[in-house]
Amino acid sequence: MRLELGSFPVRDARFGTRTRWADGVLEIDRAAVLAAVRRDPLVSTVELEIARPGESVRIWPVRDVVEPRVKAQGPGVVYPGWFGRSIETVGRGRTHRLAGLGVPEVSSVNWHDAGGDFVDQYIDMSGPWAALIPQSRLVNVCCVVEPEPALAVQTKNEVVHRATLTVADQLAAVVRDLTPPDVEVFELPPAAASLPGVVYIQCVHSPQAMSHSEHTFCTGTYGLTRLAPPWLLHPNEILDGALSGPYRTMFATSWAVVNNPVLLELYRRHGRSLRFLGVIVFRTEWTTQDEKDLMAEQAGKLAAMLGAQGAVVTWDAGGNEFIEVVHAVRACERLGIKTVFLTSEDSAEGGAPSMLKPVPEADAIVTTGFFNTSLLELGRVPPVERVIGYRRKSAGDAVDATIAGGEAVETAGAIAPPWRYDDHYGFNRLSTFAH
Amino acid sequence: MISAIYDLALTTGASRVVRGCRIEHVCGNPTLGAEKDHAYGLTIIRTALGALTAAVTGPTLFDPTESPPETVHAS
Repeated sequence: MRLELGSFPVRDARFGTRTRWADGVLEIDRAAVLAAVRRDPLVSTVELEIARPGESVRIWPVRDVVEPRVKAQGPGVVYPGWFGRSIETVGRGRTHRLAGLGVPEVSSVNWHDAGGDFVDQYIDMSGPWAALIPQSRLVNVCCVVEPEPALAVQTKNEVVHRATLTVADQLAAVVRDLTPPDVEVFELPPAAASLPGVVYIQCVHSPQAMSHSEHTFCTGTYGLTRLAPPWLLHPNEILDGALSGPYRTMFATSWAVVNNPVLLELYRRHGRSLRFLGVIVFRTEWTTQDEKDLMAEQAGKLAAMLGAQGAVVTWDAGGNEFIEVVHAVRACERLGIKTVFLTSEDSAEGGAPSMLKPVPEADAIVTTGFFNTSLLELGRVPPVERVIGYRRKSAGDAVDATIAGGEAVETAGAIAPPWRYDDHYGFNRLSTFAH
Repeated sequence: MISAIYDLALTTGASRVVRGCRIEHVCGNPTLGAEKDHAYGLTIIRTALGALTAAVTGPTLFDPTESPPETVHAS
């Protein structure tokens, strides 16, 4: 499977008379793009707004950030499977991308009605929070969209993400037939048998058990987010968006998954320091002990059948999902596969372990720090001049407190950072110290 | 402690751990229908009460589906 990935760098975007890319500037025919979104009769309102790095802008709230990509050659469509998009296997031919551009998905629609799970991630384009998240460095063309209010929440999720993909499709389409200034070839030719075979086990949260949603939000595999036994994907499929979707942390949005530095680094080392064998996508949040253990065992078995001598394990969630994840590490190690685990830590306050269940086999761990931002002592994030999206905080813990007190939270003001900071894939280079 | 993820409870050192059904419904199983769900829930609770009176020397698992007088399969 060979994929050429052509990059068209974007250093600025502006609205104009027609959509086109030239010399790093993306001109956008706003009316035409909005008309394409409005072809969906379930869209109530939609607007496009541009945010540039360094501006005093806050994008609130952000459900996803999509990097515009398009198939220039080869089968299938990018971000396949979502809401009727082709499920044909992707990863072959040539894909063009708008590098440095993001399409944030901005809407008041919450993930589900089951409670306890709110969309309250946001992007600041400048300031201390901007310095901590990679999407602040993108030129962001925001899709601010609301579905018809009478729809059920699952349908609303569908409408909102479909609208975002439509915007991304419209923008990427203008570079489909152009010659990219930069092309990188991704394929896994046979490599020296003396190099260690390495598999990447990418654990992705499934919202099914707690939200009853099997396909409307969260990182989907060809659009499916339901609990399923581990998938085996070629990394090229992931580069074409076969693993994508809205999610509750900036570090697991569609943009983050197609630009995942763990995936890209394993790929670039193929044939040099290792043999990259493929990606086992391991759905998490199984809800019985046996299911958790079964899936962990099967992930290890798959890795062994692929001939892995090494494995890298990441995950994108927290809480009880740690069990199947760390048991997958254990399963690999017991099969003789040296396994490195990349994870954030829980608070070790009160003498609790900083991992839910330490297992002795997990003996090579790279920490990405505490994900609970209150422990990072970031302080409040300063006010901004302009908010794209919603000026009042409409969901989450703080809104419960403040609206009950008769007070609205202005999202333009000084506010707390999002409560999660979980750099699952190592985008940043924050230092750490022991004390 | 009644827990669907009983292995974790045992690891943390809980002395008496009763195997629950699922994280979503630890003490029952609505897919069984009302009558069997009730019976299954009762079995879990009786197992838990029985565990309270059992002498244990360390973290011990009690499985309701293995205990008399009635066995109800969770799935």
